[in-house]
Amino acid sequence: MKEIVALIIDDEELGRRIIREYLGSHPEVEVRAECQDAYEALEAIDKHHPDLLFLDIQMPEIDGFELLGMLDEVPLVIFSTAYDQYALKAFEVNAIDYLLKPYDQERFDMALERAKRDLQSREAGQQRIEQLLEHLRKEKGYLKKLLIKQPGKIIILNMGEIQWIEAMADYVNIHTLKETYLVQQSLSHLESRLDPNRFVRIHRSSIVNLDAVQEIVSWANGRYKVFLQGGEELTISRSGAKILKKLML
Amino acid sequence: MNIPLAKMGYKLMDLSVDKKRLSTGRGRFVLYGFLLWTLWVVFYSIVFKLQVGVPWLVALFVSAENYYIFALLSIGIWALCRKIPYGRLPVPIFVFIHFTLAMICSVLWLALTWGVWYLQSGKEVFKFVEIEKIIGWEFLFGMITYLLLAGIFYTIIYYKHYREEELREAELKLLTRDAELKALKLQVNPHFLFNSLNSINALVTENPQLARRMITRLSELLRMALESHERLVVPLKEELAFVHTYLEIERIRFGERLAYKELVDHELLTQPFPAMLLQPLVENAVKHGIVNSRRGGRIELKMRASGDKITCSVRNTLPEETDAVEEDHNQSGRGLSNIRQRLERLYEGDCRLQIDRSNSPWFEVSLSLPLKSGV
Repeated sequence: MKEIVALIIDDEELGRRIIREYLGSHPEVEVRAECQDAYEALEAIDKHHPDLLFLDIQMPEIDGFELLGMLDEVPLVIFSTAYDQYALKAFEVNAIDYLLKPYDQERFDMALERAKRDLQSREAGQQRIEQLLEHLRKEKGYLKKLLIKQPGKIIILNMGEIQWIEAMADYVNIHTLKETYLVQQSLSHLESRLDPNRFVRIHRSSIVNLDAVQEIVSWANGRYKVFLQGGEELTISRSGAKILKKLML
Repeated sequence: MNIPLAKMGYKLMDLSVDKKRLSTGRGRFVLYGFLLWTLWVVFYSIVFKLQVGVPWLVALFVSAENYYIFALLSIGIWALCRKIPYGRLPVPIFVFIHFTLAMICSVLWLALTWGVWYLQSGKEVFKFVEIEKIIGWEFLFGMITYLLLAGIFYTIIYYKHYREEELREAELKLLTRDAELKALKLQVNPHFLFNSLNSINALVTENPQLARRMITRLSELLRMALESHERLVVPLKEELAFVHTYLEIERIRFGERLAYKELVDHELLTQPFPAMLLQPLVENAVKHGIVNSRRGGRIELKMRASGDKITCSVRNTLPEETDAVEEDHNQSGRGLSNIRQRLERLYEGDCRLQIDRSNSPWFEVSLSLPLKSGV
C-alpha cells in the first residue's frame, strides 16, 4: 500500500505518544515529524509536505485552526481536542470527524479509516476543511492579531502595531512603524476581516489604521490627504472620504 | 471551566414571567369583579321582575343601583380582608369582627341605596314601597352578601399566598443548586480533566506505574474538590496539599515546561485558610504561564505572616510573545473577579487582592488576609 506521510502536532508529549502507539498497527502511515507547537509544525509542513496531520486544537500562542489558516495548501486533518465546545460545534456544522480525548484504538482506527477514504478523493476532504476555516473566520469576527509567515519564523502582529496596509497586485504590504511585511493576500479579503471602525479603506489600494492617523488635511479639488504617525502621507479617494465622513460625528 | 448548566440536565425555569403575572393582575382582577357583579345584577333583576312584577327596565335599574353600590363596597371589603389575615387572630374574635363589619357594611349599603333613590325621586319613593316591611330582609341580605364575599376573598388571598410561597421556594431551590454547581464548575476544569485522562491513556502501556500514580492523584483531586464545598475554611496545609496534587498531575502533562517553586512560612501551615482559593490561583498561573507558552515557564508561590496578616503571592512568567497580553489580562481578570467576590464575602473588606504586571515577565497576584483563627 502507498505510504501516507503524516505529522503529529500536539503540545503535550503524552498526547503525541498515544497517537504514535495507536499508529503501531498502521504501518502504511509514516510519521515524519512530531511537533509541539504551530511554529514547529509550519516548518515541518514546509519540509515534508504531509498528506495527513494529527492536529490538537489547543496549543500555545497559535492554535490548530490558526495554524491551518496559515497554510497555502491544507492537507487532510484528523483533529483532536480535550474539551472545546466552540471547536466541536464547528466540526458538527461542517461534518468533520474529530477525536475527543481520551480515545481508544478502535475510535482512532475509525478516524484513520475515514481519513484514508478522504485521501482517495482528496478534494472533497480539503473542501470540508476550507469550509470549516471559513466558518470559523465568520464566527470569530474581526482579527485580533495578524500572523505573518516569514522564512523560518512567524511574526505575530498586534492590530495596534499596523499603520496602514497597501495593495500590491496579489500581495499586500503591511506597514508598521518599524517594518514592512509582504503577505500574499488580496486587500479586499483582508479588509473583510478587519474592524471597519478601526481600519478604513481610504483608497482602492490602501487601508489605514485610524489609531495611526495624525491628521487629515484638505488638498486640491476637494480631495484630502492623511498624515500618519510615521510621517507617511496617503491620498484619500472620494469614496474613502465618504467612509471617513460617516465615522465623523 | 464552563460546563453549561443545560448540559448537566439542569433547566432553568423562567420564574420572572410567572411572578409578573401574579403581581400585575390587579387590573384584570377588578375587571373580573365588575363582570361578575354585572352578571349578578342581571340575575337579580330577573328575580325582581318575576317576584314583584315591575317593568323590565325598572327591575334592571333598581337591581343595578343596589348592586353596583355593593360592588363599590366590596372593594373596601377586599381591603379589609387583606388587612385582617385569617389565622392570626383567635377564631371567635375573627368571627366577631367580621360580623360587626357585616352589619356596618349592610347599614352603609342600605343608607346608600335608599339615599340614591331618595335623591332620584324624592319622598314618593317611600310611598311606592313599604319600607318597614322590607328593610329587615334587606339588612339581613346585605350581611349575608358581605359574609359570602369575605369568604370568596379569603379563598383568593389564600390561593395567591400559596402560589407565591410555592414560587419562592422553587426559586430558592434553584438558587442553591446554581451556587453548588458554580462551585463545582470552579473546581474542575474540563480541559484539565480530559487532558489528564488522555495522558493516563498514553501511560497505560508504557509506564503503568506512572499511569497508576496519575489516576490516584486525579482521584484525590476530584475527591477534594467534591468535599470542599462543605467547608469554607481549611487548615492551610490541606489547601497546599490540594495544590501539590494538582501540580503533580500538571507536571506529568507538561514535563519540563512547568517549573514550580514554593516558599511558605512553616508556622502558617495550621492557619485557617479559605478553601479552594489557592488552587484556582495556581491553575490560572498554569493556564497563562505554561499552557499558553510553548517554551513553558515558571510559577512561584510565596506565603508569609506579616503582623496580623497573611500575605500570599502567586506569580507566573508570561510568554515572550507579548501580543497575547491584552487578551491574557482580561481572561485572568475574569477568573480573579470570582476569587475577589469570595474574599469579600468571607472577610468583608479586611482583605486585599492585587494584580501586578509591572515586573516583566512576571504576572503576579498577591493577597493579604487577616491572620486569625475564626472567619
